[in-house]
Amino acid sequence: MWVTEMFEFNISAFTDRLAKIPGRSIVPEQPTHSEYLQKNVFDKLLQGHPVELTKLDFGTFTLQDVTPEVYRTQLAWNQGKWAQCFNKFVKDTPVAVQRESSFF
Amino acid sequence: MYDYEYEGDILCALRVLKYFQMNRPERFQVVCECYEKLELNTVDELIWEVTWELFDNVISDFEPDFEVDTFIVGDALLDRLWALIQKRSRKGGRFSEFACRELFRDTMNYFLTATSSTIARVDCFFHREGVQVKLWMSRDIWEPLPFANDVVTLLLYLEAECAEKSTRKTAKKSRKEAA
Repeated sequence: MWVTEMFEFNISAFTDRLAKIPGRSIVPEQPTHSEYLQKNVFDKLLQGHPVELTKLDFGTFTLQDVTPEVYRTQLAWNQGKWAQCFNKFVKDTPVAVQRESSFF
Repeated sequence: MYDYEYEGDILCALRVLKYFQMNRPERFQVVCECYEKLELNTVDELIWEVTWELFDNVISDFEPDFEVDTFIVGDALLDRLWALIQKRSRKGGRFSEFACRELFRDTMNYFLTATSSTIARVDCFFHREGVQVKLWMSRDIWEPLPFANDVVTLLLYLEAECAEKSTRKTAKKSRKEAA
């Protein structure tokens, strides 16, 4: 026997669940200092020698190790600006026009 | 962090090269043997070439009316994401399909112009088989290092999105089969 039940949308439960979902950010994590890069890349460049690509072991460091702080800062700033523009757009859009929500 | 004046540029270059090495190791070896050295004088040219190696296929062109270079790029990750988004649009109807195209365009704009003004305009062409993205270069600004890092950030995001959507799809299918 099929039983149909009407569910009421509970805004409190929805926002509680939404707050628990981990946020996603494209900004990479804080880079860590790599002794290998210090010795094999930057010390060589400081001495005026180029770095030989074929001799550099790319397996000894991760993407996180080579993400410059200035790039992280710019990504975070860009993300904040887009969020501000998105909020402004949603705020100015009349409710009746919003037939569908799209999240980014 | 490394007491080097241009460490930002070198780290940017290493990030792009690291991603290149992880995803296309054979081509990475060829490029390393061709360029041999990483130095400030040639890092821009090296990274500019590597940037276009990150995609599956690239067609470079010139727009005579605007006097700018353009690059039409295609990649399996772009096609895969578009295929997943298309399935959603088929359920929602025509309006939903338009919203999905705009979402895809916004995604490309968001990432490819995040930290660099090298790209002046981004166009997306949607086909049944996949999607192609046409990048119009800026006439005045050429910043290969931040632009290449934006491309890497985009590709990392696409990898994560496709993996997550596929995982959700598989989990839903398993729940249906279990029921």
